[in-house]
Amino acid sequence: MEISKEVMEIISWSVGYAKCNAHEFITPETILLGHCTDKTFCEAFENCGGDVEVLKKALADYLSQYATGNTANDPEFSVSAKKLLAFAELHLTASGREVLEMKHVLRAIWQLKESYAVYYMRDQGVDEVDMLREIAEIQDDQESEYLRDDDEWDMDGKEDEEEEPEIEFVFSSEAEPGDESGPPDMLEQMKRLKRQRDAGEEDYPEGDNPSAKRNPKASKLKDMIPCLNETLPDEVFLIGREAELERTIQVLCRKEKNNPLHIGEPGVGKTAITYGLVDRIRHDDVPEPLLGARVYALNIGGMLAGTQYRGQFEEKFKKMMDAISRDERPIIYVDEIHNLVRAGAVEGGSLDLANMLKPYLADGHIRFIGATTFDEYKKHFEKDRSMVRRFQNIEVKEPSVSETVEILEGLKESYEEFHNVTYEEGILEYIATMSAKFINDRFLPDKAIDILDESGAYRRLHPEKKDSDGTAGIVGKDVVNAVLTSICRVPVESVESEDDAGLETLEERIRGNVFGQDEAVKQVVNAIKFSRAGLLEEGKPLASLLFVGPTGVGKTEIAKCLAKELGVKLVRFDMSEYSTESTVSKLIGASAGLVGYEEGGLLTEEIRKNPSSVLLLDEIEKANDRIYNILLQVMDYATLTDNQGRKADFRNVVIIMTSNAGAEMLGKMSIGFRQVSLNDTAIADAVKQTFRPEFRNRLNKVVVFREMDEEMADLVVGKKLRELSDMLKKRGITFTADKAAKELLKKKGVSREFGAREIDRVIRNEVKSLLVDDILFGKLKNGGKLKLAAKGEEFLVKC
Amino acid sequence: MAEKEKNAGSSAIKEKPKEKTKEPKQYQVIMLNDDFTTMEFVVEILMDIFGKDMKSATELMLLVHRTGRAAVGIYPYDIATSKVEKALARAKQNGFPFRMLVEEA
Repeated sequence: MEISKEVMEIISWSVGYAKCNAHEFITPETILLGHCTDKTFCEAFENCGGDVEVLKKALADYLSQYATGNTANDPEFSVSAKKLLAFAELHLTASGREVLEMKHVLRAIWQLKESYAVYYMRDQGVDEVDMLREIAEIQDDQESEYLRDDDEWDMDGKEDEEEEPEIEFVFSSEAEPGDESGPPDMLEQMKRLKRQRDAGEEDYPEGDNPSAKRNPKASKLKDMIPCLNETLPDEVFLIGREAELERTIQVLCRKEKNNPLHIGEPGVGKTAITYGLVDRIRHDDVPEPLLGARVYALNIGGMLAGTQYRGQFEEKFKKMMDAISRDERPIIYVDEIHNLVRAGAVEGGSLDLANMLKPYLADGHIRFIGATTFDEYKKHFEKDRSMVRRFQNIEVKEPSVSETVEILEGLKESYEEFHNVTYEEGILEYIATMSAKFINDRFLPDKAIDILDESGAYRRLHPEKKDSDGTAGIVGKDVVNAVLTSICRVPVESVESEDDAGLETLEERIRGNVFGQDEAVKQVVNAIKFSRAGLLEEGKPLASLLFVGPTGVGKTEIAKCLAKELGVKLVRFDMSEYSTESTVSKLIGASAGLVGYEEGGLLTEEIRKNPSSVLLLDEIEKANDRIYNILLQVMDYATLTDNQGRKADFRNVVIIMTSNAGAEMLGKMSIGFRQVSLNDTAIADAVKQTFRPEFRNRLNKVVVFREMDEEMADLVVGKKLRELSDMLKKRGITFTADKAAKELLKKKGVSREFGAREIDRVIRNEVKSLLVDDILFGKLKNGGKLKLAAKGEEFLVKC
Repeated sequence: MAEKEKNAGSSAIKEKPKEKTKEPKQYQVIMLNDDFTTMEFVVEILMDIFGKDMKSATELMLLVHRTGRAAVGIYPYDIATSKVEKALARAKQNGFPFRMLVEEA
């Protein structure tokens, strides 16, 4: 078993002390006093909350009280001291180690019975586990690779010059310690080591590096606050943004309060500016006052980690700042700086990280660069006015489309390399313009870079036929369109698209389902066609239409049909649910203070989820008047702001509103002697009365639906019977109806008042009720044939 | 040392509580009589190891001789046992079956 140098020194010192003060015994208390001369021990003790001076005094007092009184002989090791060394040796062999170190000795001390040494330590609140842990940490840091390779935390090498702790040999040099009884091998070893050391031989056991008593916890510091000069990869970060960078450098070169704060929307490039600055510093491309500056990135999470007790966080922080202050030109970059306020604060206390930083901020030696967004700035940062004062705001605006294109140019290569694709000529402009147009909730250049990245990924996953140069292919407009469509859920077309064929037949297809309302269909289809042809004005929805007319003529049906044919969602709101003012708030979100504030508005959420859809507002005259006010801005600017300030974009929405205003005119008219068909002007008058002029003004068209007539009835009957037949087919029953039945249906079902729904009712009450028993229990249980006939005023069913 | 959470309402502060540490007990050294140890030796031990002056040492020795046991002094455990060991070693050296005890004070 070997003894480490530090233990050797401690014990020699203790022996010397005892001899010098004429102690009778060398007790564990003496040995502990010896520990107080060791730097590591002192530091660990202080870290655990003890005061080394107090300990020293207590021990010295104890010793002078109980251990003195012997002048004749040399001091002996007391019983406990011998036990101590025995324990230590036992621990050593038990853990399979070879070298006796301080931690073994310390642990042994704690195991002594009724020991004053332990008592004095415990009395200061230091306990065994903490001490051992601290010592282990300190020693680990001393040995860590980080320090051997990297003098980062030790800029001037000053700490290298620290020597080992001085041994105060207070006795004459001839006297040899260890003449007395003690564990023989231990003492022998000590004698030998002492002789060797005196003779100048170094016999350190491994792992004991005297010059490594440097900045402890430095490896932790590296986690908390990595240096960007090293960690940043070597690529291009910043393109353009000259003005902002200039201003930043200017602020940094100030004498005091030299802390720039970048504020901008998320994704405009605030972090990129700082990275660009680091890059320039690395290449010495900065003015003189910033040469050789080291930029550190503050990791608040890393700092908070592991702190449990009050004061641990502040301690970590102080150590970190001390280490950084030793640099010549430190710059600390704090991303999301609004997190500082309230970070690390004890609940109810006001000393948070922001307040701890303030003196450093004002001092000027350490410079801070912060980055945050407008929202967060307003919400959190501005609350702390003294924080605001110490920073200089630099607004980082969204770049224009052309600037974005430049940025994309600069980034193109790294993405090409990563995805192994090539970007077509001119695709970058396309990407920038399209993303600016279609993605609304994010900002340039973030969204353009997103598209760039994702199109590259797309192409890589779906490679074109293998090119000779081994790339996965070229990213062209089609790829970008595909990516955009999947991101925005808005069908994005380029000029030569195959969808036009679908558009041509759209009108016919809708007319196949909705009968007799050609005008309405034409209007609706035109709206779609205008937008595809690019003839629509910017900033308005695809179409805003008001359908009026009697009930049951197909107003809702058109909307459903359109949505189905276009392949978009039908968002339907029944306005009769929103007849009171408070329920109208449901659509755009409750005001602050009301229940449901967080949920957002129904309408805005739906449109946000389905930016391309058909919005159907049924029975709009039943809604509260506030609805019209909301709709005004939707129809004019195609945006709706909800209660929390988020905007929903209606630019790709077809708004269809239905109303029954004027429908009662119909009834009135028909009372007269003459069969006066519905007069358009009468309906128009009714509409004018119900809806306000500014509302009507913004509509694309008010479409009046024709009432049900013979021709329409024919077609409707046919459709309904077809539907019935489909239903029955599912049960394996073929259904046909003869002409007489059809005539009867028509006669019974046509109603100018009730429209097509009357036919539904007739079928349900008179036809289906005949069938149902047979289908369930009778002859048609397992399928069969069914024929509908009419006899007189009744329907007949023939199987 | 137990670490309890301090419950100050809804506070989430964990504070290390201060436990009152007990001072180590004091022990007394008891000397026992035996028929073989000489009086002089006892007085010598009392003076050298236990720091008594001549008068007190003699008194103690006579006390032991008469009553069979006497308390020599009160010391911390470590010191007490060390002194006792020293005394016993010396006694053995001189061939006396001298006996001493360490008891809680």
